[in-house]
Amino acid sequence: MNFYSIPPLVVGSGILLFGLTPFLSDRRAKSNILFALLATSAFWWLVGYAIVYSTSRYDVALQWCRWLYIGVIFIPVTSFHFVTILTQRKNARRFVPFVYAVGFLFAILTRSDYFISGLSEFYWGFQTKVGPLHNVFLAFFLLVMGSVIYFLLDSHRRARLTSPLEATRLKYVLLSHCISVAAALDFLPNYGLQFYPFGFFFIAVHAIMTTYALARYRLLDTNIAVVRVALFVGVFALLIALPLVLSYWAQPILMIYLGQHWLVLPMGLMAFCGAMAPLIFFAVQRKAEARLLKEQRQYQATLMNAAKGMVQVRDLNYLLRLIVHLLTRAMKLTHAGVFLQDERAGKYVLQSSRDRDVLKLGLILGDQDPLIQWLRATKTPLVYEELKQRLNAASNGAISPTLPEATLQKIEAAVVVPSFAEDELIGFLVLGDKKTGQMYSQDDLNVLQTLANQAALAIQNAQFYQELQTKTAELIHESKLKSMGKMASGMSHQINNRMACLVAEASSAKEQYLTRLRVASSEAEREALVQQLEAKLDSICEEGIKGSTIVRTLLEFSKPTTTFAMTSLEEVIRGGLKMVGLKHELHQLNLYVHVPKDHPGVRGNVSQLQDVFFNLIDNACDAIAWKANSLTRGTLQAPAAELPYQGQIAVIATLSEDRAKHVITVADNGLGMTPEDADRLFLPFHTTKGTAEKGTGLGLFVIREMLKGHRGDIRLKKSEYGAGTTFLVEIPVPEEERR
Amino acid sequence: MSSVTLLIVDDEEKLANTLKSYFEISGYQAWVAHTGEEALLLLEQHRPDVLLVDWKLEGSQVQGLDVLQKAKQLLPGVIVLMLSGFGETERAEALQRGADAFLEKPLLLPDVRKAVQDALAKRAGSASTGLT
Repeated sequence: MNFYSIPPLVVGSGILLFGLTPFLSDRRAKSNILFALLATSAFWWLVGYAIVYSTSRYDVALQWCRWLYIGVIFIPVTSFHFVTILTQRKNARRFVPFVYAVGFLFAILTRSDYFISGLSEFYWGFQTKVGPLHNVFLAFFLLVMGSVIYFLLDSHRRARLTSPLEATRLKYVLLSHCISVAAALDFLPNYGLQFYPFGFFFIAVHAIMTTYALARYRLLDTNIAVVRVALFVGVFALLIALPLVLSYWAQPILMIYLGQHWLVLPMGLMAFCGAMAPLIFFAVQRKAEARLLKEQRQYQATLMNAAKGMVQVRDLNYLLRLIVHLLTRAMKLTHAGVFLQDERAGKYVLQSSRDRDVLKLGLILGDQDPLIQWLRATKTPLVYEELKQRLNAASNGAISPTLPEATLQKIEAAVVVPSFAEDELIGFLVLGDKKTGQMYSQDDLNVLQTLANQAALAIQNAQFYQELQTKTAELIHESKLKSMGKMASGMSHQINNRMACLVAEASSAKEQYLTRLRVASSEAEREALVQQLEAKLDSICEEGIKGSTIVRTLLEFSKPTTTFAMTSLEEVIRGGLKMVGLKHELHQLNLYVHVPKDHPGVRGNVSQLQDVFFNLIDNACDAIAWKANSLTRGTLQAPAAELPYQGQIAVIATLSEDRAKHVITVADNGLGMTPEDADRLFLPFHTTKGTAEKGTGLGLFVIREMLKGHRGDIRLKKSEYGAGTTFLVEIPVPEEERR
Repeated sequence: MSSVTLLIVDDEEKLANTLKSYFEISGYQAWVAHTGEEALLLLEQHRPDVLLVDWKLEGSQVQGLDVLQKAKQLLPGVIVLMLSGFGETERAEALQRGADAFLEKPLLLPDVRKAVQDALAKRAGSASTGLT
């Protein structure tokens, strides 16, 4: 064994190992079998040379040369077979037996001196010397390898249109074969040129690349792979070779300065370079990849930023449309869609989709669908292409039969990314192919996964918000009903009073006027009675009208309106007051309402705003009644200046400094609140009204929600127990009215 | 013969006045009070034969029921008719407290007058039977 036989032996073994790897992981796939055969041929060739270089006997060397050349012959033969299988070219397959036949023919011819004429003796050992027939073989070799490369090129081109993953795989194999052709340089020493045949190096690269392409489902983008490998080799070679070269050339000089320990300097330098190498490698790699992946990094950054901002979107439908739009635009996809879980129904429904008619909204996948099961089990993105590869490889049926392939086809998904929120699959993203025909890289999938998880949060958030809105709307409606209830008894009392007046007047009219008219003696008397009757009839009408007005007011109030309309503060406040008037005696109070004439209007739900003021003034009336009660009973003392106590309510409308908001003060001099009550004022279910009364505590909470629905607000300005309470209501001035 | 005196207690001004003028043309002498306090004052002042009292007096501390009780206390033999817009529940209580009748609004005034007359007749009847 000499130095020069080590490389072929080592590399040959390596090639065999690589070649066997795909075969060992899946023995049934034909491509794996052929690749193993190819690797074996190469191994045969290289081991042969290892033996040839290490022997000093001519006859042994010659024998082995004839043997190893069989390996050389079968390299193009097995390559051809391998590639026809890999590219699935049916018509090329017809030639395979023919190629094998020719191979066997040449194999037999290795015995002949016309093929292998003898041996050359070079500095590294014996080398085959070829005869004239070898040129035929050489032609055959070039023809076969040429067609191999052509097949790969053609299939790669076609695959780019249909399957980005397959295209990438073929690109690797194509590149590796192109590289391997450089190994043909090894034929030159056989013709007498004296250089150590290093072609095996290229074969090794070829073997590694092809193994990688065959064995892995998710491939690195070829550009990245090439750059990484080149960089790795380059940086490490440079940084480690440098000290070696230095030590070789500078040895004499160093020996002068350092004597025995001259090696220290190169060693030290090597150690230093070895330490620096990774740093430099990563830095250069990052820069190189940043440039290569610029576009990819760009859209990945877009997606990440969007992911962060998504949580702030509260409208669920808008959020879903945003996600789909984002995906198709940023990554340039043919289409995309979002499936959301309908928990109650146990299914997943397509909620949003873009750019394709195939993904019809409302498409449903049940809980038991294989895709759903798969996603729940693996919790990672699923790439359709990879699944297909697995299917092709798994002909022994080792993988479970419920693969989601059919579902993926139905929803036209190239990639499916699940969205998990706390272990629950709340939905998933469906992505079509990239319009560029590129495959989805691991980076892409990582970003998509992050996006999907952020989307899960955002979707949940939006769903919660939606639910909250529904609940709030229900609360507001309930409050309205309660307001109506509050008014009902007062109102019916009022209506009954009107009726009582009306009936009293009508029933007494006969005796009061008609009977007396009949017995009237003078014209004057008659005239007087007629006039009185007229007045009485008018009065009766008035009472009737008053009664029906009360009813109409309630009807108006009870009408559910959701639309916003332009109205004035005056209308809204007076409306609220009218309602209060049905419940409380307002003319006993000192009531002051002031809305300046030149005030801008408001845009809102008129009945809701009326409800707001109704509730506030109603509360004020109650507070006044309680204070009156307390004063009478002696539980509250008031300064003499305030007695006799008269309730006061003031509703004053002003504008904020920037004229962007209405600021309405509602103040009363009623009972007021303790600080504890003031703290809990806006909490739902907090009430200062005894439960005997109709205070349910929803009032101020709902008022605030109603105002929030108008982008307004309500604050307690001040309240003092025994003195009174003041509220501040803010309602924005509509855009068109701001000056 | 002096006419029968009547005190009308109702917070609804119009109704009270209608009742007043109606009874006046029927030959009664009538006063009107709008609050319970006012009613008590007039009760002491005029000592009427009949009271028409509304059950609910808005804005008064003294309610219809209080007036009924006070009247029965102060004036034995007084006739008190309760008027109401509410219903059955008050009826029982009113009659329990000694009201002579319980009338529900809306009131047909001839019916009110009949109720007063019936009550007066009853009182007279029992008085006369009391004598003999």
